[in-house]
Amino acid sequence: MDPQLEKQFVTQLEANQNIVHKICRLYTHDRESHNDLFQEITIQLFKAYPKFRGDAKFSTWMYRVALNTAITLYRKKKRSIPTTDYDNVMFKIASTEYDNTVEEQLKLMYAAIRQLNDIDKALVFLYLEDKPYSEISETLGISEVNARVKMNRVKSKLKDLLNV
Amino acid sequence: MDELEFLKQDWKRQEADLPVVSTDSIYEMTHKRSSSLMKWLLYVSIFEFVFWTFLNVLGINAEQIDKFKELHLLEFDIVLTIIQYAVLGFFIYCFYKTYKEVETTSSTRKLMKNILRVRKIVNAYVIYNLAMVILVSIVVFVASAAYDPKFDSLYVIDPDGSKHLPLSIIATFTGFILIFTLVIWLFYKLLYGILLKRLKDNYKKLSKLEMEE
Repeated sequence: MDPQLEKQFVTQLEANQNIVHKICRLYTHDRESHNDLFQEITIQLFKAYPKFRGDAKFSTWMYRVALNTAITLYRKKKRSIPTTDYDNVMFKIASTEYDNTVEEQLKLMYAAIRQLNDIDKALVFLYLEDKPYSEISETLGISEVNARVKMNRVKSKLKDLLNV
Repeated sequence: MDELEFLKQDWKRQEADLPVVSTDSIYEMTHKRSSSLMKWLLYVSIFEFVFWTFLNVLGINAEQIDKFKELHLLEFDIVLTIIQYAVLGFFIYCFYKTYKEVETTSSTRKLMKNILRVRKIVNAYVIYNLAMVILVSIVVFVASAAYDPKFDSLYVIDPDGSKHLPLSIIATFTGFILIFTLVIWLFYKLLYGILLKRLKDNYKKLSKLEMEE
């Protein structure tokens, strides 16, 4: 890749790195694997960048490549997601204003999401990112109807997990 | 209420808490491929080690040993095999050491230095192997000419009673060595060439980065 293009890539990635970090938080459960996944996603994005023509938004393209990388790696490693360590995982409950019950509830929800499979996680991630179904379907390469159906299933799955 | 809607609020709030990776670190990550290329070099050299060991083990049989004895080459073969394994082991160790260094380094300059070092190691290894091919071929030819009864019919008897090999035989043999060496060279070119080329490309990019800084 020529240096100019590379510079452009690094600038754009730096500006949008939050997306990658959030994906890493969802797919890993300690700082080291977070950093590893961040690096792997960066490498994949870098490799794919020459093919990024700019007809999609950089961030949309990034969601796609980054999620695919996370999903592929997740499948390769077939990580069993521990359900007991969610108290000290990367997720920090953002606000200190919450009372204990709310905080506890959020922790349980994050733990439930961690138990979802790789694709469902990606779906929840994009949903939490407030993406419209049109973009979710484009990013995950499924139809919009399918995305809605899957999302509904994920919601009930989460409900089940939380009620256990 | 929808649990996910509730979570969405917290999701947005946690953004402030995300880690930040610097431009320099991103640059470094994009060039970490050097480390995976070096890992492949290590794998290829180990593969070669296994491959030659396999061939050696297959080649050992009583008939072969008798043949070597007949040509007075048994000791030569044993010494050569020991040297060959020692050298191959040494090169694997070098690849491993550089790979480990590259994997843990965060300095571009050090990475570049290691890329150059790996290229040197590979080149030295290939030259060593080609030199060995030539040396072994010559030794085997000379030993065969001296001790192999099949060679007797090829000798030309001079009027004074002494004998020598005709020039055409020596020329054919030389041609054979050259072709054989070329084949081995092509084999290495293919085996290590692709990885070396990628490392070289990476090196060029790194040096451009260094200059920009």
